Amino acid sequence: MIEPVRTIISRLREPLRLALAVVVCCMLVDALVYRSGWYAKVAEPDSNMGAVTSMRMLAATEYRQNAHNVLVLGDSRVAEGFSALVASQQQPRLNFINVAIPGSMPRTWWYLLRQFERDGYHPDAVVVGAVYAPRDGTDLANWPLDPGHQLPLLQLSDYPDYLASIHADDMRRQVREFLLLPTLSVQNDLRSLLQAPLQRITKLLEYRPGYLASVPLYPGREEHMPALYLNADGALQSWNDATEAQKHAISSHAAELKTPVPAAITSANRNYQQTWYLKIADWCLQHHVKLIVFPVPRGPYHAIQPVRTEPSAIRTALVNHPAAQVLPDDTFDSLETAGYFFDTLHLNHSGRELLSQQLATQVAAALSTDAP
Amino acid sequence: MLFDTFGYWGFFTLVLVVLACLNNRAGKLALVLLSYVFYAAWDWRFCFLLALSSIANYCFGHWIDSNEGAARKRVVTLAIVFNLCLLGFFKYCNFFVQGFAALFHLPADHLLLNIVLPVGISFFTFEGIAYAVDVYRRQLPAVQSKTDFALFVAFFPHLVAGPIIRPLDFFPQLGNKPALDSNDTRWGLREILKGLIKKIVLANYCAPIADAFFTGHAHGNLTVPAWIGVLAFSLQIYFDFSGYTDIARGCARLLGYRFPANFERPYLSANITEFWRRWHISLSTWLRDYLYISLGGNRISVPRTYLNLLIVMTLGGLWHGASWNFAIWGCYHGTLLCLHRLWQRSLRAASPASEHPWYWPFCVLATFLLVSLGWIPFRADSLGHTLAILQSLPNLAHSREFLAQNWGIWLIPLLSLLWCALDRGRRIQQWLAERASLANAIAAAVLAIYVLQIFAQIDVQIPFVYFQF
Repeated sequence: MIEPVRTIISRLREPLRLALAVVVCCMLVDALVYRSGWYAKVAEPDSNMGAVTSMRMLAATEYRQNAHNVLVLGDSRVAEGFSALVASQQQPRLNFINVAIPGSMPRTWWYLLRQFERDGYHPDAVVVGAVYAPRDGTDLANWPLDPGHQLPLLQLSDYPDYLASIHADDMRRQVREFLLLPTLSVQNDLRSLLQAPLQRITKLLEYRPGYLASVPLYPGREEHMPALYLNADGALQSWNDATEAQKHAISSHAAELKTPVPAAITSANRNYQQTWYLKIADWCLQHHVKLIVFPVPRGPYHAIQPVRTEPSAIRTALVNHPAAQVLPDDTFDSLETAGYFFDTLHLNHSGRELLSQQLATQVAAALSTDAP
Repeated sequence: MLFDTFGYWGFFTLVLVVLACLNNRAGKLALVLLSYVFYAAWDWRFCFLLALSSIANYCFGHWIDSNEGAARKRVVTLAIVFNLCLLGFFKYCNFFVQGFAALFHLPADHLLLNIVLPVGISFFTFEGIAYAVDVYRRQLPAVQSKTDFALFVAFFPHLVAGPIIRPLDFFPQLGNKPALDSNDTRWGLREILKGLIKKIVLANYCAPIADAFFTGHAHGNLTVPAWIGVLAFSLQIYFDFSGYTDIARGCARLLGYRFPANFERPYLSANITEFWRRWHISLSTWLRDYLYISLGGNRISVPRTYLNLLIVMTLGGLWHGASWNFAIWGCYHGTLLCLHRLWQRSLRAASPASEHPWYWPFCVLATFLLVSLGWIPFRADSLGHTLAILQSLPNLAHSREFLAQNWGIWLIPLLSLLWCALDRGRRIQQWLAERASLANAIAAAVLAIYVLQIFAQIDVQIPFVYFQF
């Protein structure tokens, strides 16, 4: 019934030879194009992958070998709300580098940190702007922008752990396909590259260098949110001079804060935060780097922000960690006013200046008093 | 288990390895079992139906073979009736009940049976009929091996959407364990990659446009102009079905079996008769051999020939589904075939030399337009919907904006034409399978894989069109 081994081999030889040759060639192309990091350099600078590359390039230009470098990680709230220039002026001894990526999450920051190490940087401190208690119901482990940020930072050996860290079946299946066939993950980007290659080249050669040069000098946005008249319970009494767009944004923001987050999501997010902040802290400990986690100001209307009832997952995870210092939840509560925000999430120019100065002082204090 | 999923390719690799490890007899048995596993992935309950069809047709074959004269005819009639009843019950029951209810003004809701259509039933019942008729006509002795017969019916590459396999083509391949050489492997891989590109890249690009048009929705915030919606469906159905066939043929070849061609670039046909020689060839030849010829074909009289054409094409239309729209589609093609036959006869009478290569492109265009018009009742929900679409066809509003935003809809036909010109007589494909160096073959496969990855429509999951038939 079973054929002799020689017959089996002879029958499978041709299909195997061809299939293997094709697979090896594809893997070779993938290795040269994607896994070498080449494609990430030509990816659309405004895409998620392009943003990661831009931040790596920014770090390369801003990092100073003989200075006390401080890497600042976070999402758009940190990108908009923290000025490395202001902080460095406040504390000339320190060289702050803001590598915050809009839409990124702690998992991205960990992989980015590891990449910075491979790129040859050894900062004195890592500062992370964190949302201590996420309120918008986002499922952090299954954040859809993550693959775009993280795939260019992964190595083959990361794949099993990376897949395991994604909990949603659909997303895990999609990411598995992306890992197996990386072209699929940059499909839209490749199509736009093929459609307008000259435009892409111009963007890479002209727009990106200009953008990278302007990032450290970016002053933040000037506009601010309207001051609202709220009663003691946080209920709205008057819209004041809010525009229609602002009214809509504020209403959505307020509704989001009032909507209870499902217990399962809260619990999963706490686990996620503990896992990834702990990984970041362990990395810092291993590399003798101080980790400082600060709470990003939550929004322009302090009165409507939920009352903090329990310690955040980040504090729980890092409270006794020798490399980490978690700044108190209310550190920047004073910035949670309309005058310091240009929308419901992001600090404006004034808020950015203040946060940068205050944070720089805290970081300097932490570095001078407490070495890991 | 769809051909365009990773799950299927895992399954196929397993089949390939299992088949290589077993001798011919055990291999065929394993192939039958694995084909049932493949079928069970849709609905395991219908495996019993498949088994029933196989057992019954196997027995009918022996019964036909052991009888002579009128008894032989009675048994083959019984075999055909059995297969038609099977098809009729699952596919047309509700259609007839609705017709009955409408005729006698009865409430149809109480009479309708909620019958789920078993995938591929139209294909395996037609194969059963073909077998019975071939045995009756003594073109083939009744098959002795139960495994061989079960494999003929259930062989997974053609099970759910064809091509309709003819017993005379298939059974002779089962005698010895099929050999597999380098050409087979290249040929198989080429067809699979070609089929995947047709399905995942081309058909799935056109499908959302066609769906949006036929369901009355906007596509990307733009109303789909009628002619573009119809063109999109013409492209979708061709790339979808021929893509499926290519994958099926490629898989079969890698397992050592050969399936007949089902499409021969049908949209390049210069007339409707030629179109039906190149479109769904396995169905059109089946209809010719088992229905048209049985009705007398063109042997009786000229009017009877035309009537036979109309009957065959209308029934061929109904084979696609239980709906008057399919009957209209079939009747429309029957009428076109009759008209073409008439025209050809008059041309032949006027001037025997009717080859006019200079107008060939216009003939191709005219045939394509006529065939595309035929797709309207095929895809529309009802006769009213068909008429509404026909009325809206001259309205060209928004065409320019739509084409500018969805450039694939004009680029795909253009590139296809360019490819057909380059690959005239399939010379490039033949070269790839037979004469190209290994490096060239690999480079072509790698290129195809990257084309697939770059242009695959991964955000849409569209089942193969012919699964519903």
